[in-house]
Amino acid sequence: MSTPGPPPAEATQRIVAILEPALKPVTFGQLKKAAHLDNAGTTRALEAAINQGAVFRWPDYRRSQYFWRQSPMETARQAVLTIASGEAYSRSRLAERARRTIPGFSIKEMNRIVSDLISTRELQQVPAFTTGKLLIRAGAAAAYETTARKFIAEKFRKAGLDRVSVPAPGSAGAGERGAEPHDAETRILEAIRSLEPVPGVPVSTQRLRNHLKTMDKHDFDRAAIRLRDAGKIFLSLHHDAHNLPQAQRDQLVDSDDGNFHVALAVRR
Amino acid sequence: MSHLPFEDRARFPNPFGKIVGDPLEDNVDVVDINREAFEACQRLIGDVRTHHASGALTLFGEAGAGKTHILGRVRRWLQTEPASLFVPVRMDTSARMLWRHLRRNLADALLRTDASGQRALDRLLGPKSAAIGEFPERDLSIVLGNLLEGRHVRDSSAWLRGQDLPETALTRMDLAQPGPEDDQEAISRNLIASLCSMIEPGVAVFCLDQWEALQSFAGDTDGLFTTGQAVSFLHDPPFRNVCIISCVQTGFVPRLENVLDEAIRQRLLSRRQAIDLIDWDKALRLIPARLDEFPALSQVRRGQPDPLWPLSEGPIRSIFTANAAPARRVISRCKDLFDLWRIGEAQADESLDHVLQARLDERMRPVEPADAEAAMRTGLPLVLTSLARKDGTFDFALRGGSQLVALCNQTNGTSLYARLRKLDEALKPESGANLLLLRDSRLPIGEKAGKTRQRLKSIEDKRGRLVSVSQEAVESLGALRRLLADARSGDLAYHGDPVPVTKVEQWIAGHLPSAIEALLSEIDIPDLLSARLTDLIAQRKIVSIEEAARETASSALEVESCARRDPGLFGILQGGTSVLFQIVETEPVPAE
Repeated sequence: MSTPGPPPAEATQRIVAILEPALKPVTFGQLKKAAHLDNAGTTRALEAAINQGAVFRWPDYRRSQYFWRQSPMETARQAVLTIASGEAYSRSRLAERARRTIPGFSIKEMNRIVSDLISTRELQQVPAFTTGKLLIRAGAAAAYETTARKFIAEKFRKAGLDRVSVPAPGSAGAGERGAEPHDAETRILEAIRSLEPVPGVPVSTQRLRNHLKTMDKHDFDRAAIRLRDAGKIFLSLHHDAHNLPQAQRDQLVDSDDGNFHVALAVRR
Repeated sequence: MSHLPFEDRARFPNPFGKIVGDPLEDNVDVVDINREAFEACQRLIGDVRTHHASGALTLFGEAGAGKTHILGRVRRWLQTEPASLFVPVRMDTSARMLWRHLRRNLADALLRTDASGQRALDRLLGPKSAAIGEFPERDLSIVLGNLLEGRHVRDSSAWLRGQDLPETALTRMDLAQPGPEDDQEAISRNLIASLCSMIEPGVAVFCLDQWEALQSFAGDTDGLFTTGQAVSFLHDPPFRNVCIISCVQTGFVPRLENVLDEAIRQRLLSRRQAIDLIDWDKALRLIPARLDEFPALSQVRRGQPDPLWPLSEGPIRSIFTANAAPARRVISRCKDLFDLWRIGEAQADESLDHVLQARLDERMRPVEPADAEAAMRTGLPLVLTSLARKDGTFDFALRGGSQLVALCNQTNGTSLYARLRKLDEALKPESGANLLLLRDSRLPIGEKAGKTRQRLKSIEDKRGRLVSVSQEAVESLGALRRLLADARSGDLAYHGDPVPVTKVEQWIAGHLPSAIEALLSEIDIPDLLSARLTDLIAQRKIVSIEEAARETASSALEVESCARRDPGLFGILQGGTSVLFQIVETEPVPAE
């Protein structure tokens, strides 16, 4: 006689608990084994968890079914944005690079994701150094700069000039504003995107400051205000900040006009 | 047309008159604004219906961004959806009343009539009326049968809402008398479960608005935690048809993340959606939609080249920062500008004091004796912020526990006797504590209730005292609770911006309704600030004046002058940070 399985709710909780710390999608077989369930029990528990929105089914890959706590579509979008934060790429190269990092997506599906990100302005088109357009994550000037430097270095190499004297970021030739404030804005945008559970949902200043521990309060606050003024983020006003203890008020963004802000959200 | 004389303009009502949303009344809507949030609600409800598994969604947004307005859109959409029940719930309740509060709101939703005069109850349960007698919950079946067939409607409605009924009414309807050990919270929870299961395959959409109002005071986490547990309960099997849409201010997110445990967070926050501020393009759709709400105004607007006429872009646009503003602030600005056009001058600028008094008066509503318990339980801690809640038989404690407070507003004689018996048994004369029994003055204890009077006498012999609470005091407590709930949720607006809750608390301390002052005097609290300070110093022994001012919702100057009036109790150490400390009388040390 077979041992009866756990109640459905408990089985679902087990599945969710196994997937919670997983760093990548897990196969059906691995889940079944880890949860000590049979095929039917695992299927039922997964269906319930998927219906609750706690687990997502990933595209099948090499004849295996995959599941994870993050949605495949959202993970793919994040992968594209992460790649486009590092360097500027043409549309096709960006889709191809992202596809290699996320199992189960076809190049066609990845191209569609890139198009969506362009239409929602999360990817920004910038002029290529020869002809056409390149893509960077919106506002990620550092990515464009990296590609520009590579491009120039290559030109220098082809010209037979070994020592490339391209100005380093932050040096006198790096632009009027200097690289640092711009870098702070990029880092804040990236931090919001990595912490927001759903695109556009605000992230508290407390979580952002924890994530960007090396950025001092003044730089963080100024960069947040610049991002708001540029229409890139929303700042959520705290309506009673003056009655908070100083330590809690320091966690907020001070906009120097008597207002304090408690959360940041990427403007879509 | 733009030169309409003032006497003609004055006949137009201000279409921006209503600034704070109400899900049951909002009808002007621009569907493009916050479309994503609304679609997230539709997806949730669709998923619950398709997969037969309950689910939750949380909407975040700044105060005035339009969270409550989205709930109104959900209500209107559900009117076109078959088999669905819209249950709006303002969370101005407390941890100990939560299930009763949800039951009350669920019952109200079932008994509410639509435009055609039909109750949701008839729509959802009418087709099943033949089977209702077969449901295992006997009393609920009887009550629903009565309501569907139009018998004992008033008492049946009261029972469904969870109101205490006299023995005669219960006997007349053949319902069970309450038992001495009944746990009203558990009963209400089970009744909600039964009602939700009865309306299957229809869906029940609970819209929990104003989560911030669950806090009776800054740092109060009981209500949040209990509500989180309730969401988990409704989210999990055996519930299969419950949708929970919660509205939370963005600034409140860190509090939720810190208070709720992982399992609750997963259920409550796994689906989230932001309600954004509006940009100018959206304002350009919102403002004409409001202006065209009234046909007479819409008619004179026809043919105007400026879509904002009789308003204009400049003064409205000035409130936008980086092309973003909360919808409420835009509406408030338009309201002022419309008045300016309509009567030739802006409405006189009312002081905050005046506005708060007006808002409090608006929130004064009749409270039936059967609802007095809830009004006292949630209202008293707001007035007496130092009331400590007790988990046992007594409800609150004052003055470091030397004064106990118990509510006893039972209308049913059996329930009242059971309550008094419990209190009598728990009250120990050797503890030295006094007991105040608070009871609505409209609920006299009859001459014939001999056993109940005996119990009361026994309590009085042990330094207990029955305090009769006037109807005005009960209603004032309810109004104060609603005022503070709105302030905590950012829904108490002054010039379109939320009034900080600490300002409201300070205002309340200085403007207590006379009925509440009379109640405090009746329970020997002549001076509210003094009572609050006494409790604070009894708990903390030493505290900075600045902190004492914050905790008692008063100014540092008021705290200092109050403390100086009672040198036998308070000491003050002046310095960089002035400190208040408790004076303790000690026995003189005998000389050796």
